[in-house]
Amino acid sequence: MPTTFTLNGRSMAVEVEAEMPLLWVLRDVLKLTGTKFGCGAGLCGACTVHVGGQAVRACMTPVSTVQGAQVTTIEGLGNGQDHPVQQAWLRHNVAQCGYCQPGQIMSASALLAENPNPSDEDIDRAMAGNLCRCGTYGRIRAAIHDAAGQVDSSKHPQPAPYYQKNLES
Amino acid sequence: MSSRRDFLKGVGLVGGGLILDLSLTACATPLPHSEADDFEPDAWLQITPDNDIRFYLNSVEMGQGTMTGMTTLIAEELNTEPYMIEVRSAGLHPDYVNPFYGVQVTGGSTSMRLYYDVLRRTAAQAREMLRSAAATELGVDGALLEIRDKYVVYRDTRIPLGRFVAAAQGVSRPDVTLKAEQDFRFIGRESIRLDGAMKVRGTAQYGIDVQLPELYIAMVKRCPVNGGGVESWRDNGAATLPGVKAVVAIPNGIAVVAETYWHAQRALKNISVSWTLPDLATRSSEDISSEFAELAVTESGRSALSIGDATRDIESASRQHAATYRLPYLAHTTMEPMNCTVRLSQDLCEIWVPTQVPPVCASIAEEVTGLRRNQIQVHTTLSGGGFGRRLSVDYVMEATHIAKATGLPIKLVFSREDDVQHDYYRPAAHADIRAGLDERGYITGWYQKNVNPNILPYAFQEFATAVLPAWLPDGLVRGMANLGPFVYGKMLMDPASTEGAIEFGYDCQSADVRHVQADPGLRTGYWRSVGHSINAFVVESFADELAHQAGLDPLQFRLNNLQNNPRLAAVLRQVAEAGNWGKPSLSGSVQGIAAHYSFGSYVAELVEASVVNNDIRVHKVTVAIDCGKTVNPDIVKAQMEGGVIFGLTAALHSEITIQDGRVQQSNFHDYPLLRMNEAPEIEVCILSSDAAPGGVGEPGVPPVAPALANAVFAATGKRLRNLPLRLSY
Repeated sequence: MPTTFTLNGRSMAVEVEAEMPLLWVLRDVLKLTGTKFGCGAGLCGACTVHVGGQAVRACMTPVSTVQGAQVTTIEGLGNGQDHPVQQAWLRHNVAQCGYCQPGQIMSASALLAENPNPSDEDIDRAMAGNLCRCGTYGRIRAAIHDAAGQVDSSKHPQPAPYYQKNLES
Repeated sequence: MSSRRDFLKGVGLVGGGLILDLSLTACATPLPHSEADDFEPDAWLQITPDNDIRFYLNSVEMGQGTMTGMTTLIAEELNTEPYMIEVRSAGLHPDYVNPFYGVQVTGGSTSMRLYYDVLRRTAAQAREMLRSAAATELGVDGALLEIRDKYVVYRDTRIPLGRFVAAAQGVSRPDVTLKAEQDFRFIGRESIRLDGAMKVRGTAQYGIDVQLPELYIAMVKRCPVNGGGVESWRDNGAATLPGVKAVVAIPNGIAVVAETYWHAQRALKNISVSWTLPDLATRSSEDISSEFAELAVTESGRSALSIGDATRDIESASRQHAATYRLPYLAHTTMEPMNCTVRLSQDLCEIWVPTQVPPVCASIAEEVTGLRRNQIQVHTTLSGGGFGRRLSVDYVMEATHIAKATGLPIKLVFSREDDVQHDYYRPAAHADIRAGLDERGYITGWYQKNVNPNILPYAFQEFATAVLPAWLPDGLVRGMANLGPFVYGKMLMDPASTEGAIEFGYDCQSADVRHVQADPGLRTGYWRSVGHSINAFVVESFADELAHQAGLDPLQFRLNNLQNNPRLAAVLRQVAEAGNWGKPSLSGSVQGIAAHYSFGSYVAELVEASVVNNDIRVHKVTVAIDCGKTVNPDIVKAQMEGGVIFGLTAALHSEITIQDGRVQQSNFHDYPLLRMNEAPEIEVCILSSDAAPGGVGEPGVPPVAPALANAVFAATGKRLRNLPLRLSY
C-alpha cells in the first residue's frame, strides 16, 4: 500500500517499504536532493526537514510515520521565494561548503516559527543537533538573530541579482 | 581546430567566442572548452558572441570560497560585476597544473597565491584585445572606450562585448598594465558569495546529488583493518533481497548495487566475508604510542633543519628545558560523505566526483578500465567539505571497479561509518623538543625530533600514475606506485612531517629539527594544515613553557624572540590589542596566546577560556591574520572562523584509536565535532598588507590548539602536552 503525504504543498504517494527512512525516499526515490545525508543516525542534522512544522531528522523517520502529514524540505521552505531565514543566511555569507546548510536552515526556521525572538541559549538548544564541519556557527547565530529582526540587516552586503546555475541540480 | 573542438566535447564543454591561446605551458594540448566562434583567451576565460562571459574555475570549491575569490580577479580586470560571470567547473588541461605540485590539484591553500597575478593578467589581456577590436570597428581611439559590466561604453552608446569577439581573435596578445589598487571595484571588498544562493536554496549539486538515468546506488563492505583483502565471502541471500540489483567482489571488498542507499545498506548486512589481514591487524594505539617513544630514543632520524650546533648551545645555556608532546591520528569527517558516480561503456568512462585531484581520478580510472586517457571524463562537482580528504581517490577506484564488474551506472556512497573507519588519517605523532635560554630569556639553541608516519608514500601510491612520465610502461608505473609505502617511506624526507617545525619562527643561533619515520600501517593523508596541525601545537605550547621558565609574560617572551620575524610579531601585537591580552573579559576566565606561520600567512590567536570541574570551555577566540593582499575580506574572516572551529574540535574532542588494527570510532557519537553550544565568539582582524597574497584555507587552524592549551595552563597550572586536551585523566 502506498504511503501518502503532502510534500512541499503537493500530495505524494510512494510505493516503498514502510520502514524506509524518509531521507532515502526523498533523495533516492523522489530525487529531491536538497535534503542531505550526513550520518544516518540522527547525530548531525544534515537531513532535517519539517513534518507538521516540526524539525525532524529524516534519516531516522520511517516513511510510514509521515502518512497523511505535511512534509516540507528546503526546496519547499520559501514557497518559490527565499524564506527570511534563507535571505538572512545569504546576507551573512553563512555557507562555506554549504552541505549542512539545508538542515541548519530547516532547524532555524522551525525554531523561529515557534520562538520569533530566540535568545542565544534558545539558539544553542535548537541548533546543537546540527553539525557544521566548516565552522559556520557564529554566522548561523547572527543570521538567526537577523531573521528574527534583531539586527540591522542593512549593514551586510545585499545579494546579487544573479546566481550560479551551472553547478546546480 | 577540429581536435580542439573534439577535446572540448570530450570534457563536456561547449560554447562559442573568443579563446586566447595564452599558455602557461606553451604546449599544444587543445583548450578544454572551445567552439570556433568563441573568444577564449586561455584555458580560463571564454567570451561568446552572445555576450556570455564564462570563467573555467580550475580550483575546486569545497567551502573555502575559491569560486568567489578567483572570479573576483577576473571580474576586476574585465571591470565587470562578478555575478555577471558564469563560473564553470574546469576540465583537465596542462594549463591548470598547480605549479607547486606538478599536478592539477586544489590544496595547500595555493589558489590565490598562484593565480592572483595570472588570472588578472588573463582578464586584462582579454579586456585590451576587446578594446582594440572595438576601437578598430568603431573607428575611435581605444582610450576613449570604457569596458564595463559586459559592455563597451562609448559616450552614450553601450555595445555588448560579444559583438567584438570575432575581431578580437585577430588581435595579438598585448602587454598589459593591471588595474591600480585605487581603481579596484571588487578586490578588497566584501560581497555575497557567488555560491551562496544555491547553497541556501538546496539547489547546489554536490557529488552525492548527481542523477543519471538508471543510476544505482553502490555500497562496499570493506575489511575492518585497513589494507586487508577478501579471502572468501558469502552473500547469504543479499542478492535476492528487494531492491538489490547486483552483488560483486572488488579487490578490497564486496559491493552491493541497489535501487536506493537504504536497500544497499540493508543487503550489505547479510554479507559475510573472511578477510586476509595485513600486519596492521597486530597493532593497537597503546603499543604504537610506546613504539614511537622508544624510537625517539633509539633513532637519530633524518635532519630536516640544521643550523649551528644546537646541542652545544642548549647544553651551555644558563637554562635548559625539554618536553614531549603526543598527538593522535585524526579523521577528516567532511559533512558530505565520500562518493563517486561512474558510467562506463566500451569506449568511455564518465566520472562525477567531488575531488581535489581530477587528473588522479582520471589516471586511476584509466588503470582500472584499461581505457585510454582521452576516453576518461572527469566532471568535478561541488564538494561538501574537503580538508584534504578529497586528495585521495580510494572511492574513485572502488566505484570504477563496481561499474566495470556490474556494467551498471553506479553512485558509490560511503556511510558515515565507512568514512570514519576508512579515511587517510592525519598522522599520530610523538615530538621531543628542547631549547636553551640565556639569562635574559632569549632562546640560544632549539631542537625538535618528531616520530610519526609520513604521508607522501600513501599519496604517491595514488598520484604516481598521474605524475610519472606517460612513456613508462603501465606495469612499471603501478609497480613504482605500489612500492611507495615501503621504499619511499624510508628514503624521503616528507615535508608534511616537519613543516611548521622547521619554520618555528623564533630567533636563535642554532637549530636542529629531525624526523624519524615510523609507520604502523594505518594509511595517512593530508588534513587541513597538515604538518602544521602537529608542529604548531608542539612549538607554540613549548614557547609558552619557555616563557614561564624565563619568568616572562608569554606575549613579551615571544616578541623578544621574534626580532627577525616582524610579520609574526605584528599579528601577535594586533591580537593582543584586539583581544585585550592580560585583561580577560569574563570573571574567572583566562587567556592563552599562540602564533604560527603557514601557507604564506601569519596568524596569531588569543583564546579566552575557563575551566570548571575539569571541563574546558572556550568563550572567545580573537584572530589576527596577515595574509598579504586581501581579495575578499569576508571570506578571509570566514576561513579564520572555520579554522578556529576545526582546530578547536581537534583540541577538545578528536582522536582516532585502533585496536588490533581496527579503527574504534565510527560516527559523530564517538568522533564528536564541536557543536553550536560549544562554539565561541570569534573576532577576526585582518592586517593591511601589500605583500603577495598568502593562503587562508588552512592557516587559521594551527594556532588555536596551543593557544587553548596555554590558557588551560594559565587556569590550572597543568601543562597538557597531549591532544585532545584532557584534564580529568
